[in-house]
Amino acid sequence: MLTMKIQLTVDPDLCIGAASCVTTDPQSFVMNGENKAEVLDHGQAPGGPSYSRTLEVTAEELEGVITAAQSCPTMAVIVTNQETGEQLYP
Amino acid sequence: MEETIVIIGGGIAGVTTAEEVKKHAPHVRVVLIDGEEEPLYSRVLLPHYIKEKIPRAKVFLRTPERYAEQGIERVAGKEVSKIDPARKTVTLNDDTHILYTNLVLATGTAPRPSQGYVLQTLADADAIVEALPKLQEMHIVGGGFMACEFVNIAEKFHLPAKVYVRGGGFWNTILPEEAQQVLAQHLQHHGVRIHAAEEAPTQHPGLFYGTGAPAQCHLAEQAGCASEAGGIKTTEALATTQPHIFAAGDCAAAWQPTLGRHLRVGNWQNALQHGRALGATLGGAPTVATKPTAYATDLLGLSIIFMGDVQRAHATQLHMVRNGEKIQIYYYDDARLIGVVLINDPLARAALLAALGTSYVPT
Repeated sequence: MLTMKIQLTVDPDLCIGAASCVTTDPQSFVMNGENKAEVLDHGQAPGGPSYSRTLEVTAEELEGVITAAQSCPTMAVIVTNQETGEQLYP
Repeated sequence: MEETIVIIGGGIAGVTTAEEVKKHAPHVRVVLIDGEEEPLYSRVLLPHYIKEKIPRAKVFLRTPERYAEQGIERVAGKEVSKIDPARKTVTLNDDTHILYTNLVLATGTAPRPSQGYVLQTLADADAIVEALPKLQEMHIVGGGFMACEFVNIAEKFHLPAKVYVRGGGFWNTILPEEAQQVLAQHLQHHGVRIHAAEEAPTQHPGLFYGTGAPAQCHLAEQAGCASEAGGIKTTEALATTQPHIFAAGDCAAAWQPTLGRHLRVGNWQNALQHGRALGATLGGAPTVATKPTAYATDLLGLSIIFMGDVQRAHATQLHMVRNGEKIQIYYYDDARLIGVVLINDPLARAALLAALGTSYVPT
């Protein structure tokens, strides 16, 4: 199965805790004690909590991440192609 | 006539509906009638813009070109003057007539007219940005989400603020009195006092209104759609009482089978969920929005999360639990948990939302 590497980031200054990303893709996002979304790697937090991670995702998983990013009312979720540097969303 | 979906309303519910239809059925003609000239922007980001956390350009969620790229015909800056359900025609204020196969009302809400500043649109935000440097103080009328945002704005710009609330405290139709007192004390700690609504000035350069925004139902009523619970009455599938007319987002009061009533929900998640479900349905993949939605806000650093149905009038029992600074309020309809409010306890959200989700599974 073909995969790609993305950088998935939540900007905590923009995040208002709506948690739409968590609802849409709970494998990639979780709310923390400050009511901000943090990034998970396939449901795990290797190395501890983080607002930004490099993930290896399938095309289907990427679609889920983008859909979650699109669901954020403050565009706090940023998705970047790690290999090309292209910002995929927003 | 080719199959045509006409959507009235260019907010998140309307745009999401349009995009989902196109995703499922690219051959269907989709016409989006948007009363505003500007492309879709996030109303949730307007306070960020006012508080100078982001530049104005960053509030936009779509570019003008993005609609056409998705095959959506956007009619900008026009209002609908009439719907003719018998002829399945929408008439614009410039006398243009558009035939529809199915019509979606995503007309949202509008603040009640007032003498002061409100915050619903980007134009409202621009007016506030222009006014703030000239103000000495803020007088905030209301006790809900908008009033909360205005309090935060006052703090950001170091403006003394007074809040005038009907019924005693913030969110008084939602929170028990004890919780309202907690918020009042928190505000007082930050130098913001709550006054009775009757004491509010009727004219003042720093007057801000957050007194609620009723659903915009006049077009629905003119078309003969029934209303319920303060919104346009719909089935679970968002169909109104008029054939081929649907409603989505803040204006819709959708049937909730596990609650046994219609419920109008005015938050981002609900509008998005409606748009996705209705767009899929109209695109040929029937989908029902079933998940309870949540909304979070921040009152001078205190996080408050509202999940499910948290209207006190809908609950037969409320149960409030305090654990130090953390508060959980449970709303029950007979034995069923229908809503939760969390104050300063965001980590409890996931488990409780899942519990609500369990309550919401259709039987």
